[in-house]
Amino acid sequence: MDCNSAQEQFSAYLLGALEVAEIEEIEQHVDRCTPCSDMLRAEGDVVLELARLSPQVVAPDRIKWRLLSAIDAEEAEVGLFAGLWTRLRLGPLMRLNGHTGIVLASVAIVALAAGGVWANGRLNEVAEAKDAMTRQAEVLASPRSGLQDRLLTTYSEAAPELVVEELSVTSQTSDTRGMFLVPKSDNSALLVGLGLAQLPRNYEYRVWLILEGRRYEGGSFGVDSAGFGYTAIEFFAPLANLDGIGVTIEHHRRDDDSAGLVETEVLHGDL
Amino acid sequence: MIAPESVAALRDEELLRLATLRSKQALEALYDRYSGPIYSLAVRMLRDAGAAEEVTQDTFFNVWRRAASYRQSRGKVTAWLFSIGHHRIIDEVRRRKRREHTQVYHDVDLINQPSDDTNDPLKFANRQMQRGMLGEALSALRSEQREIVVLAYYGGLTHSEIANKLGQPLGTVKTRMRLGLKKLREVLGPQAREWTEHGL
Repeated sequence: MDCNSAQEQFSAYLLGALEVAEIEEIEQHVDRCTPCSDMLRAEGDVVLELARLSPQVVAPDRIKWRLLSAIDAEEAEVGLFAGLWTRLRLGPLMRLNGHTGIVLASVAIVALAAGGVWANGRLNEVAEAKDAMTRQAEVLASPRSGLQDRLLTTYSEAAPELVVEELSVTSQTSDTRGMFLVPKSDNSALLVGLGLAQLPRNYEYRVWLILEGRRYEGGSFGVDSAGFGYTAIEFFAPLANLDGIGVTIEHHRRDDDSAGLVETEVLHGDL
Repeated sequence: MIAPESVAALRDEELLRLATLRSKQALEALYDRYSGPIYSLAVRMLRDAGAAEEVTQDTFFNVWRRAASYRQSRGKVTAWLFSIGHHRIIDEVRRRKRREHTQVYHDVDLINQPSDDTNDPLKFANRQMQRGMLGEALSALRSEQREIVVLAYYGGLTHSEIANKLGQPLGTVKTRMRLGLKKLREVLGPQAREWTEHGL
């Protein structure tokens, strides 16, 4: 999209009169174009004024209390995952001592690679997906450490003997992290992604479990706007026997399209 | 825990950054600052206090969940926040249209609509023209520009839907929308600057 086309649609964008795809196009353009971004920021004020011209009413307090309750409820749901902890005994472990009295192993790192990627066909779509991920990763850069710290604290408090395997990541850049969480069963786990980039439509994160040189699909997931996503992993063998784990970005697999795999590797690690 | 008076003094961008770090204090501060205008707009557009409450709550819940997605390149925090609120209100407007919902009036003093009122954005705009600042602002537009701005902002129509509804080319709709918004900026500019200076 060029600047003229983008600027022609600024009014519709500000008035909420664009379709979702058009909104994404505009936002992708202004994220890269400083002059257009400056123009959009300046023009945005008028829409605020339209909102403020309505006779002003004080919002009832109960809205705030319901809002805070909803947030607490959502956070409590995340905390439930911490209750599924168990100890995982794996081969070459890396245990890191965290807080006093708490053995906190390192976090399994899922990194998005800006390079080191291969693709089977559809190279342009892969490039677009990578660009989108890079932009998203930049957006999430600073808050992620706080989110991860909070999540680590939550889980460490719930499971003082937590042992988490860390992946040795091979990538040219590392912007995104996730966690490998283990529930009570030796054969099942919950993989939680934290601070992951949102993917374009029709793409998903897919988990691969590597055992004795063979790759097994471990599930797939998307992430919400905060970069949070998870999937439950069920395996026929104890997860302690795994040689490695990987996460790739794939097209959504359709039942009638076995060729839908893009096989874009975003993580390769050995346990 | 940050002292409440300190949080209240922070700029919008700082509050949003704290919200990405899961500071409920920061979210509360944003809520205290902007819930009134969001709720007021929702009340005006939906004419249903209960629905307006739900929309307002959803708006700030989305602010909480999507705080990390804010990009300075796309506008100020207030514009982003109001955009979330406006889109949520429009979603509710469209949902009601699909269901051919009958308006339910609640006992809110500022909702004092005539009994034959409808959800027609053009009629809504006509009523607004007879009252206050919004009326003055919209009346400054040419009729064809006003019609399009109202259909978009208050009616929730996309520019394609407006073009179909009015039987006008899409390019014409875009041009009139742009000119209408430009005129509103001229009319509302001084008021906007005053609000900005007072942190509204």
